[in-house]
Amino acid sequence: MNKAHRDMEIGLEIEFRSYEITQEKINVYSRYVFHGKDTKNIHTDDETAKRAGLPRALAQGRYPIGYISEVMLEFFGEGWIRGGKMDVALVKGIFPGDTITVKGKITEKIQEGDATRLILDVWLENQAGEKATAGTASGIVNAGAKKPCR
Amino acid sequence: MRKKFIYDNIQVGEELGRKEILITDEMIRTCANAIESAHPWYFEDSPFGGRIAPPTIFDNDTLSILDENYERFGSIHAKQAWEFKNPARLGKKVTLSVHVVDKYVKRERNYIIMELVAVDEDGVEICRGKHTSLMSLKKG
Repeated sequence: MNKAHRDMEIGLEIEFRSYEITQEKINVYSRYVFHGKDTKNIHTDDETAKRAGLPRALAQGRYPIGYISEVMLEFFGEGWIRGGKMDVALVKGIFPGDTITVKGKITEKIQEGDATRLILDVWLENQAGEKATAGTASGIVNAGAKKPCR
Repeated sequence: MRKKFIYDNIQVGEELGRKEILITDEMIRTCANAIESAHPWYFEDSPFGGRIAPPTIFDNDTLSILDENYERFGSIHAKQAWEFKNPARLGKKVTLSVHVVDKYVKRERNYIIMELVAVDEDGVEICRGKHTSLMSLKKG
């Protein structure tokens, strides 16, 4: 994966990583939420989801947001842990069987002392090319993090 | 007794609750597994000195603290914002607090915005997360 550096050009688009969404992964996340317990909820059970007015069980919104954070951690490194920001809207449900890809585009650079904040549009795109989650993310690139020498 | 999770019962500025948690090995492993991450900083060592937790490790706590106060049948997570300020370190106690910072109606739908703040036992702020929920899911 590309690592963030201050010489990256505005407008650069990056396809970070794809994830397969399965019911089992959603169930694993649900067990994580409910401290190891199996529960019937709108994410794990189609009938419960339908009673709530949803077409079927869907992924928890915060679960794929975790994917964005992990990708940004790999991209920014320490500048995500200390200085990372994310603001996203969940615009379309993510369902078992979907393949979602974390994508981004560098839109702005801001100087913060000796460091540079890189701001990206980020989104989760499904296999149909639709944005399921979209917004912005930014992190800190330190002064020393220049483009790698060839 | 928990209140019903309806728009008029929610007060902007209301503290929904706070709790103290210990960042454990199990928490880190379970969270990392749930988001399919094998990042070495979670399992070995990090540049911050020791293992740290995934930055989004507190992502469930906003709703879990909400649910201690309100009887909620699901809700739709509409937006999420995070500011990560410092690492959540293995073995540290962290105090989480959640407040309602806004509520609004858009296209006849009710939304609330809750802010979680995480501060460790040394007084170091770890992160802030703003969770926007669409309140109304129907119950059959």
